[in-house]
Amino acid sequence: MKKNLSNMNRLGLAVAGLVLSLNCRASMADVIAVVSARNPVTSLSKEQIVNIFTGKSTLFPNGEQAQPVDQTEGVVTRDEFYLTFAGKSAAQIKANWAKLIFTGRGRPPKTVLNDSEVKKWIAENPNAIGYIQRNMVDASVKALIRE
Amino acid sequence: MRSLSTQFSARQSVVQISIALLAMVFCVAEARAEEPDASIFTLSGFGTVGLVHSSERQADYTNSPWYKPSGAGYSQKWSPGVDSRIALQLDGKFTPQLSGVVQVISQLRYDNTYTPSLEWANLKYEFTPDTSVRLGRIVMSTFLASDYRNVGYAYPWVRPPLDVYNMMPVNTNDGADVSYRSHLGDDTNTIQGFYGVDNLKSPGNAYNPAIANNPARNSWGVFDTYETGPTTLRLAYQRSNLSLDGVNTFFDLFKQFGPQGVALANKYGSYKVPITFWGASASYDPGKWFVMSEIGQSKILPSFMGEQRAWYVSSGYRTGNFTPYVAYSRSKKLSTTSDPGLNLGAVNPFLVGFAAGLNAGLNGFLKPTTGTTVTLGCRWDLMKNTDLKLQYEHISLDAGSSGLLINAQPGFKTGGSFNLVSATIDWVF
Repeated sequence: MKKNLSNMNRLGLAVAGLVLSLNCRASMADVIAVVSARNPVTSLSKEQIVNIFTGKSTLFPNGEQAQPVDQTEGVVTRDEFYLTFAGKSAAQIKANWAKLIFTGRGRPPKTVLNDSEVKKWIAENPNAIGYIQRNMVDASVKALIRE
Repeated sequence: MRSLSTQFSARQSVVQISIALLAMVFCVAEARAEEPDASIFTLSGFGTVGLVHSSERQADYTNSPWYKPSGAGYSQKWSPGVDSRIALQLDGKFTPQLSGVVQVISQLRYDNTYTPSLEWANLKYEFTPDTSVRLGRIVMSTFLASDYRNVGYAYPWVRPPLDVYNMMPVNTNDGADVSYRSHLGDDTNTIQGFYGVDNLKSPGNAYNPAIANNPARNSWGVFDTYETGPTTLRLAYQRSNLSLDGVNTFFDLFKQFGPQGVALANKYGSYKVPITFWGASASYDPGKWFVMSEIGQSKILPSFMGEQRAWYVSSGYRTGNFTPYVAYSRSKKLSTTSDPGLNLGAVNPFLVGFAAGLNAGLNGFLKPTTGTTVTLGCRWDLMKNTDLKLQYEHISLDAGSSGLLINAQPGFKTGGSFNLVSATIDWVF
């Protein structure tokens, strides 16, 4: 009986740990992709978003030009975005651009300093796509539903 | 004489292209200088400082036996010349469609100096974001990492597996290439075709101490890359006609021995010898770890280089800022590794000694350069844009093989094994 109890305790701890780690993941995933409120696109898959930001694709699925706007290297939101969307660290993303830049295959997207700058840029550029913290979303941009 | 003049004109045309490109770059620069916020130019670069130690002291280990005159082992106990290099790149974006790139690299080269040389210089015109044409100097993408093989920061190892990456002596193209990318759902397929010429310069050898030209003509090829999620699949096919002028001065000597000598020279020399190559690559990289493998087969016949096949498989796991990795590579010569050479009974008695010397030289050229390599290493992304790598390699040479080693001394024994330790710091800016 005593043994069972201690097992129960362990199970409880494991569940608590799992919940905690899930919570952690949820807060990490609070970076979302945004486009202009005027852009007809409403949803994109994780892979479509990653392709646009890593130079593999330059178009939205409807054939319109996609102009990615990135955040400056070292910004937390940037690191969270690449980790949750592409599963890659800042160094891996940099290595990917090194491959493209030094073979003349592409240049990284324009960068701005923070979420507010992303929103400002998107408001002025209807083809732009960026990413910001979920709680920064307002009427100037449209949050994309992740397919 | 004819080949000398064609070499000269080919080199001249490269210089002309480069000058035209630079002139254009500066004309546009001046025209745009008045506009504010006209960032049409971007300057970037990359570099590696490295040291390599080899347990084989009777020969030199180098990353490019075709191109470099010295390395680690015999010449230096710890050699900086194997991996160290620095490069500067100027990108120009003149219109949304027209862009240009010039990359100059300084690394140990054929004349044992670090004189900068022009690695890339081309103009690119994008008809659509997925269709482009480039004109000028382009590094061939024979293998997955061939066209960025100098950018240490871009790959996990100290250097791409050389058993595979060194099998092709031709790796640059002065000419044109066309690239077309198509989208199939979220997958992308990129097909690239090229045509042009190249002139690889090589250090002197025992038979010809002068720096030699090694012109490649009528090079063309097709590469197809398919990317689906974390998976990349690739097929490559390319051809060239190669003349190794430095080596041919040795094979020319056979021609004075009548029909049998001429036959040997034509069989094993490299007079506009056709090279055909095919390769296949697969890579899976979901982020946390990776596994990749490439295989290639080259046929350089008729010549002493013959037919060769090589493959590798490599994997690594990313934990924090560390990426420990392993690789196994194998190369194998499929064509002949020896020949009886000139029939000494049929040559002028006064020239028997000389002919025997030529036969020995011929068999030296026919020796395989193949073996296996086991690699263990770790990449540490120690700070922004900078990594540090430590790598250990155990190389086992095939019977009679001197591997990719150069400057073999009288005490060197073929077919042995040796160890390498390498440390590099790579950065991009």
